[in-house]
Amino acid sequence: MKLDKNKFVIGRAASILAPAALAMVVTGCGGGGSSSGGGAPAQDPVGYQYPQDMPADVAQKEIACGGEGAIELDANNLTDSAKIAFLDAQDGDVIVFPEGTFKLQDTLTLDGELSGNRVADVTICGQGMDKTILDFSDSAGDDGLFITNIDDVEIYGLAVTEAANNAIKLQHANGVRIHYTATVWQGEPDKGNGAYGLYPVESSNVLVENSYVRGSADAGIYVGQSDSIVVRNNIAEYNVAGIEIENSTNADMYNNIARYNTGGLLVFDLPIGNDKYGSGVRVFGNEVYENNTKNFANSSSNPGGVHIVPPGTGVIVLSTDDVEIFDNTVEKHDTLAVAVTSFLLADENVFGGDYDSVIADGWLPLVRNIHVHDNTISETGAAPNGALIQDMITLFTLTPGLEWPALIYDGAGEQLANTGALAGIGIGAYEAGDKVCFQNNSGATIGYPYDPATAATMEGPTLSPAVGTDFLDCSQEPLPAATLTFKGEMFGCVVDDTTSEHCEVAPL
Amino acid sequence: MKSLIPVSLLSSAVLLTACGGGGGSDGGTGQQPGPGPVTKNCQVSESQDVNWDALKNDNLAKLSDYNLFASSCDPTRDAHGGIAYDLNTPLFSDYTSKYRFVFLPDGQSATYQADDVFDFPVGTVITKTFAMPADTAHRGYDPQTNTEALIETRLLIHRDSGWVALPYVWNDKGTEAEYRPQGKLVDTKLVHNGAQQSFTYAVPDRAQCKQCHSYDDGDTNVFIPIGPKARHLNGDFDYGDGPENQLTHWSEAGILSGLPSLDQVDKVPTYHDEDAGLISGYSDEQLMAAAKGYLDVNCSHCHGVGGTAAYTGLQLEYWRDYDTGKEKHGVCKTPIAYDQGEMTYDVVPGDAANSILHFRMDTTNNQDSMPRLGRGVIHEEGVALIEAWINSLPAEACSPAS
Repeated sequence: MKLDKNKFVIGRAASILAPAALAMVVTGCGGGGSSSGGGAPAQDPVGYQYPQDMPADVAQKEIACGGEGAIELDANNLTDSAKIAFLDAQDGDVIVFPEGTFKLQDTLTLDGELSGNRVADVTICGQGMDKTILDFSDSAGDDGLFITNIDDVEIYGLAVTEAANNAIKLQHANGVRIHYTATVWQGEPDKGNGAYGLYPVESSNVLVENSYVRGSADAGIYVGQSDSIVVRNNIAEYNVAGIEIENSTNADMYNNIARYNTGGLLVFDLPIGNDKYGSGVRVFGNEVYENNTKNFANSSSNPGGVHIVPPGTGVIVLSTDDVEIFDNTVEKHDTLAVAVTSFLLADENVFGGDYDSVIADGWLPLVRNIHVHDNTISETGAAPNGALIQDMITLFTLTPGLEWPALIYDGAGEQLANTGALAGIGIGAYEAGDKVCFQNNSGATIGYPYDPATAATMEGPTLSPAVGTDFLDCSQEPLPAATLTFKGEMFGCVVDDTTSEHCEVAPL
Repeated sequence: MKSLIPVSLLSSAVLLTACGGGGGSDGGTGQQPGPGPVTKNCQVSESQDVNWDALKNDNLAKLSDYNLFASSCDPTRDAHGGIAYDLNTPLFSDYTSKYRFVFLPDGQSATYQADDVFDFPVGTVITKTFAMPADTAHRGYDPQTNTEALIETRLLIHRDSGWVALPYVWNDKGTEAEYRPQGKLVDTKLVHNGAQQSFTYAVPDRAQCKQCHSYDDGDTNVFIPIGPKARHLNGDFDYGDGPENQLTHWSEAGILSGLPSLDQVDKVPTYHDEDAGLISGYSDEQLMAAAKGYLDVNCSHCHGVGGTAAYTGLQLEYWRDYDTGKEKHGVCKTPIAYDQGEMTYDVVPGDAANSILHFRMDTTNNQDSMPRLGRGVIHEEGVALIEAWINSLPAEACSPAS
């Protein structure tokens, strides 16, 4: 069967549960109810301190920032002093922020191509992420720090708080190391908080580790449109998204704690039309728990924005290929432990023509080669909620014989592909290497609204829900570890980290 | 080298009334201009030789060190060989008045470009001075009064290594401008349409300058001027002998080569604040042209091909055809990196009140406001133009049902 994708009406039917399809199961449904969010103690809205349970090797890290030849900024005139140091940045500069809490008056911008040749090897450091606090609440600018067009930039030992937009944004950087750095918006989660905390975008060779991000109205750590990425040993809490890898390739996200966010860990690939699409992401060894905070992002019509994240979700993979999720602990989530979904969930009309140009640009709405295995999953689904999946919640909770699962795969995109509906964009049936596989996840239930083995029709995918513990049981080849190069040195699991679980080097 | 002679600009007429303390400065960071005479010690250069060597190589501490203008107090007239110019529709900068000059090395000329900024030779210097009127109803800089207060003079210099931007910030007395690469935040008041506004005027730092003055060809990211494009200069300016086309003047002065016949040159219509009252009389075609001109000069250096916000998909160059490029104009387009909250599309034809582009012009909240830099107050007349334009556009799929 060959279908003209432009005539193929996926819209109505592909709606993961269009109203018509639901009519039979929806009777007197009062909605899934929403979680009151949080579950964690309220934090002191005044001042900033990082969590008491910060791992000792991070909290007590001796921060060395300064030394001979370093550029010591003027504590009495920090905005001007930092601006001048950033403007004059030269290869090898070490720019030292003093100890104390400072109100910055404007965005601090470092453009490494301001004066001709691109600058390399610049260090920006403070005296510790609880000792050097850069408060942007009175700033005239939107971002806190903005660093661009540079090679090998290192940031450590400081906190950026209350920026109007992003706390620390890096763009067009090759070689980024951020560690012992905090980005914080205090108080109750608020959509007026800034968007991203640590925000490398359109960059490569990015290492974010041993840092703390809190309160972002989007993602606490967001690495986007980038390549060769390691994000490890961070704590992300009270953000909409704890940590997000988006439209990026060759990324490892491991040993992080993601808690009290709306969604814990996100792997997204969105139709941005910028020739940057994501694949190759490993998510492992993370502690993901109690990500039940209500979604406080600005609402938006962007179908892939984080406002869609259902509160109470541990890990989400959205329309990204080649993702391995393993050995994580994912517990106490109101809605789902792990969700793996095609973009059809975000926009049922994704094959309706509006996305043709971005599909031609290289983006695909599908999820392929996903392996979710050996995770410890518990206490999921006590109060499933989220506008995006309300129909799905209704379907599973009200259909006799079904129950709300801990792990979900939409199955819609695969069903279309398997039926030949996507031949028009060059996508055939899923082969073994394309499959979405779940194995050995401590007995957690798996559900799908659309059985990949069921045939789609001209109207779209065929609703065929099921729940079980041994569904989609298959295996995929392990993905290679992500590595990166910073200042000529290689980093990554099994490269510089040879002691963490999964990263040990086997004895010779 | 130049020699400087201290000269008091005080005229005898001014002397008669100046004793009562007509000083204009409040002595703080705030510029508090008010009408009345001022006592200033200005320095007038004997030499008319611009300090070209320094311009090419050094960031000098004081603007007057370059000897670009006759008086150290007045960067708005008597330039040493510089030619004054204006843009048909200026970029909005918090209701400041702007005074622009271009200086080219002897015997050299810029090369005409149809759509892009002219190709200026190495050595070119552009000066742009921003002066804040006490009341926008009374514009015009005069060093002997406080009708306008000098805030900053930006030098754009085409050096061997490329263009650089050097911000010079005027002292409160308006007698000298000092090099401030880090820019400055200036607490400011002005009266506009009878209402007083207080806000922070931001002199951008050098890195912020480049965020607008930026062109990325895919490999490298270079600094370029914004204003001196044919379509913005294709209008009249009074050089002292009545209105004259600027491009013709530049060409005849020998600083512009390759100028085609003017009927071949694109032209952005003029839109100044006093024109806001005319909007209701504009035809749809006039509105389209005026709005596109305004968006071009205010937005397209970022929201245009090669600009820092090209990736957003909103691309607003004047030459871009609306009918075949509606999405690039934001029509029924969702933002790529911005969540407004209530609104969905950049531009909803027929519904300015639900258009993000309009919303972001009509706020000073620095999480939302556009442009990101250089706007501390709302440009009421610009918002009115864009509102009228959006409401005049033919309905599209995202428009409200009629």
